[in-house]
Amino acid sequence: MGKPRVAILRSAGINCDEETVFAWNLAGADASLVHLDEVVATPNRVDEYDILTFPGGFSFGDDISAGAIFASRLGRQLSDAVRRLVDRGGLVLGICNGFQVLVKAGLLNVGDTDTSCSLTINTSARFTCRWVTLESNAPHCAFLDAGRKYFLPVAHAEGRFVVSDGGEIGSDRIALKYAEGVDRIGPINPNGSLNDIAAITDSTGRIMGLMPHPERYVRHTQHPFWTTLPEVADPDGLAIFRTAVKNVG
Amino acid sequence: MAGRKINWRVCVRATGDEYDAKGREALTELQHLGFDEVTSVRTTRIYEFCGSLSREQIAVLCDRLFVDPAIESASVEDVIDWPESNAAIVEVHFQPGVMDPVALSALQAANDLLLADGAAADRPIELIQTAWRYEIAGATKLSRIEAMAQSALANACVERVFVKAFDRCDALPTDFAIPPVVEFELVTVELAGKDDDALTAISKQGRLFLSTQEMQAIQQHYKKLGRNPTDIELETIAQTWSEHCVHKTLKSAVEYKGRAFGAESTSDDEIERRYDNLLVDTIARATRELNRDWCLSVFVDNAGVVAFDEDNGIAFKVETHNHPSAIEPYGGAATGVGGCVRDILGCGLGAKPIANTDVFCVAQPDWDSNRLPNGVLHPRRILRGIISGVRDYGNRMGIPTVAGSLHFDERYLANPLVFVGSVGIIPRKHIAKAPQAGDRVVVVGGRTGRDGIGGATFSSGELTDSHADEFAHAVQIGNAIEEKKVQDALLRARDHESGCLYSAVTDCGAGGLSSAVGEMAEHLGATVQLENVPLKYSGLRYNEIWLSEAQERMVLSVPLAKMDALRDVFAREGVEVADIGEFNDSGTLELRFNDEQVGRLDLDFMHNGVPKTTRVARWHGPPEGVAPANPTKITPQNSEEIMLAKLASINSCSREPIFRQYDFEVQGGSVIKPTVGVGEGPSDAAVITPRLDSNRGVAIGMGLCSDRVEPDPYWMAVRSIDEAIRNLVCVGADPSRIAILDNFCWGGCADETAMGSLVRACQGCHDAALAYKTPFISGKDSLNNQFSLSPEDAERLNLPKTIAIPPTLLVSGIGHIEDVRKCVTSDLKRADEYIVAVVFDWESPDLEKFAKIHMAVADLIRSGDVLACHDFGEDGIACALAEMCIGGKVGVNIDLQDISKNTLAHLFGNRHTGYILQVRTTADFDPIHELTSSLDLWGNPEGNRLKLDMHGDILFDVEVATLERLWRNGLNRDLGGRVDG
Repeated sequence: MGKPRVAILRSAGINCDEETVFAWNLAGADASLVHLDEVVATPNRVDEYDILTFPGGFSFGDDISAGAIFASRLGRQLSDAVRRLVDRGGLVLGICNGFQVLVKAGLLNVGDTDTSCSLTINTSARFTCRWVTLESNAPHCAFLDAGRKYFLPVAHAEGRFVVSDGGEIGSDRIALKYAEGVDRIGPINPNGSLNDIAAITDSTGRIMGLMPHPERYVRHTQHPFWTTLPEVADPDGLAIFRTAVKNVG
Repeated sequence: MAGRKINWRVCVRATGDEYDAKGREALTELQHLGFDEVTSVRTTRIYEFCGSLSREQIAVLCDRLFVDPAIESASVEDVIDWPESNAAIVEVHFQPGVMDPVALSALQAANDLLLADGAAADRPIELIQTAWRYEIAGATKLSRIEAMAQSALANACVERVFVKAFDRCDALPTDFAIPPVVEFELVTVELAGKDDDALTAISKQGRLFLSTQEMQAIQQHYKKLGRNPTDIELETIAQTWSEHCVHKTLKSAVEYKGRAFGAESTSDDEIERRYDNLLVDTIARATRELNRDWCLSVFVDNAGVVAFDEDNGIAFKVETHNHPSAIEPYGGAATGVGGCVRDILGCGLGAKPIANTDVFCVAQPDWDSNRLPNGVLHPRRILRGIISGVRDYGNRMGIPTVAGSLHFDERYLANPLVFVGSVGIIPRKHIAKAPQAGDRVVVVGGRTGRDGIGGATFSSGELTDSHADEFAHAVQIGNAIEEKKVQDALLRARDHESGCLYSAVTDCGAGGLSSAVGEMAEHLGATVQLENVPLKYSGLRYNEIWLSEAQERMVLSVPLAKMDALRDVFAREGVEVADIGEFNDSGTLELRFNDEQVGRLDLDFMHNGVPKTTRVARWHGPPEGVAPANPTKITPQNSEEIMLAKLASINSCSREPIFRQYDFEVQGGSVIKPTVGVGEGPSDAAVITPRLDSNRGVAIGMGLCSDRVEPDPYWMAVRSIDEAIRNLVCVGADPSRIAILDNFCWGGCADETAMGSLVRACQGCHDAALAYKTPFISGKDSLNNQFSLSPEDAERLNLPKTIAIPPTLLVSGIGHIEDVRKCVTSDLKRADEYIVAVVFDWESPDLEKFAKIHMAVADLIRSGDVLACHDFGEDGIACALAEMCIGGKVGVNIDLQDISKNTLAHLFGNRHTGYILQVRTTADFDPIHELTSSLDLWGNPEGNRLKLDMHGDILFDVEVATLERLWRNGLNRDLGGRVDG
């Protein structure tokens, strides 16, 4: 198989699109930007791709709530196209705002129909940009190396994972948790997420949404302490894109 | 006021207190302001709809868009009334005509959703507006609730408040407020035959801020034309000639009389010197003399441009947005960022923004609330507002805010300074631009409303206690996503497969269309049809359309043949394009509204007619009563205490509560972030890689030494430049490739001494730029940063009648880095190497020598022998060492053997500055030793204590964790608790 084709969906207010293209290409994929309006008009265009990425940003200003308007625009037809993609072995990745979109579009429902999950305003009520340590949890997740620890930045105001009253999330659906790290200064959990959840997957492990930004750690000099460290071959962010490229199809 | 009925009101609440983050934030803020009686605050988000919508359609919208089922519930009302509640209720609505970005997004999304879902056949919703409701429990009386609304929940400038509490029950609005419609009527202003008093009165009444001499020049001009000006003509000239736009003070001729330059202020030499144009003869002159080939565009465009690589240049611009931020901190700072970013987008044929900077000067946030003059917001509220404004605009546009600083002084009480900078990358082939006769005049982006009218003239005068009311219309709320869309569209049109689709672009900033079109047409001419400008609401007068400073708009000149392609590109990004006229070679600017000519301006007069003035400047030494700072004498006994106090002081502590709110990682280019090392210590400057596929970088740093202005503004300027360079060299920038920008913020310049201080600072800039071979590439000034108190207030508060800021010069520097992998950070590395302080002796400053030291340090860094490098300023070496320990999360035990009598002063702060280096013992340190006295601080980074031992006297022995806590938490108390988490 040749390089997997990746579509990165952009819209008004999406702003991590270009570095996400760079990261996918560095990991061996063939990535390009596609405007949301194009796939809304022609949902079948999704069929041309192996991987769909919902990148970070402030889609439509995050007005109403983060990702809400982008999610409302996906509509039934496009959601069907996304499921078709997963059924034929494709992958879907939502990063930060993209995670918020996937959750609010119902593509990452966590359990029975009465339970809904969401990402809401951090307990600090503020936007927070910092690096966090993450523990991978899901052995069947197509994006992660089981047992690996990842060190990545978060940058969001609405990243607190919650489920509706009385609801639960199965442990098999939790992909990444905020965890203790070497030399940690800030809090373990940067936003007050339920059970320290940073990323979840759908039941197949082929759709993943995560709050941290893997595209921001694909080069040595992006690491916050790089001047104290030897260069590593697979920066934690790049590893996520590489594992996905390996597991697609 | 005409209205449209509110048909539905949707009120969305969190299902539990724990999800009401806004309520908790409001509670914290109210308690911080002394409203201790408040026990809880619950918030409700309100959306009001106008349109023929069924209850079912509203239910679909709630379900699919407005309500998050996991944590929210909604009530839908078709009768507007207050809810039942035991708590006091405050509703905050926007003033009519104020930008409501959420409402705009919601309107489009809701109609789209109903259409796509088949739930509606057309777009049933005509209007949406939003509001916030606060239910406040625990309040004891109405006046307290009213005070809360005023001081924390709303700003009367842009918002209105409705209250139901105790015996007050306001009627809630049942209609959408529609701004008034003005019927067309052409107005001319009678200037013929008016005497000076009458001319001055006309200027004052029209808030034109034109001097009598300028009014006379306009009177003469129109006398020659044999007519009176129309209002739009007069207002256009006032905007064009405003201090904000034309910088008439800095560009005036100046006769200087006073102390000679260069020598320290002890000198008795008096000189006289004439400058034909102060700016051109000092700052611009240094750039011209240096004549660096890597300076690609200086002082001519919206931003300066330096070379980056073979194909690209780097644009840099720093702006201030002081007056608007004083009145409405959030909107003022946000639109400041928006305006500066548009300068980058409007540089050449468009640069792509890659980084922002932020520097704030405010009064102490613990200022006594009872000592606040009328018309002045509390410094804490100002600081929180401007941080939020910079955060929201930068984060939403996806531009990392990477470097900044924060300065406190009580003289910034009524005039906070907000410096916002933006850096962009631009292909070299797109640096040149020129509109052509025959091109269309095209406005793109946001729609035009009554917002921001008179901003440029407002910014040019001094503030008074009634300005918040009089100039409310000059304040605006930004919409970052609109600007991001403009950026996406503009850069796609620039890089279009058929070539750039326009011949020139500039941003709509101060003065709105009048200055954007006026500037572009300067060497041509243009006709503009004002009725073709897209409006937010109908009924604007022609002069309102022309002068509105509504945000997120840019003006392009577009060849007719490329109009279709341009429309197509912008339509794909959802950005409106309007063809409003034509450039021609008439030399005049013709303004039309439908079939009427409303103005016909001679472009030569408009741009060159402002009367040249000669200003007298004097400076004979520091003002009386300013004693040289006399700090506590440092002894081995008190040194630890002094150092710890400095480390925790708000002027020296960590800025973390600010920069954690900024996305400093977006775009993926960050190499040196605001924190460095495992211990998250401070960085000296930011480094980014503008291209992800390259290791070439740019460094961004700054210098600001307003605390050094009293002894001599000349040396203040020199030191600011030196500080900017030092910060850049610390991270690995090449001193021979640093370019700098100036931002002058002065109080009034009316008197000769104030003018004298401006001259000295300009001359300092010139001399230092030449000595360091560091050219200025762009600059901006903001004068009249002073505030007139009402006489009663001055007496009541025992404050001067006029509070002027200390003259403040920000120098922002941009440096070139060949290979970012050679960059150095300030955190101490765990390695047994040599620590040394390189001291710059400001008792007898020798700029040529200083320049060589910068170069020698940079060479040493490039050689790879430097493990850590940090700048030290007037807080001294010990404070800087503490910061290096914090960053490295490691202690160091320093045994000072060989010391001079100055050692204590160097360690704990005096006038000197310099570098602290951790270098390999094998490094060749001779070149630096030959240039300056350096202070050897042999010591091994190890353990967890910072210990300084001098001849067996323990000066200092503190755990690094203690240092860290003091330094990191210095600002937290004032900014409302936790950094995050």
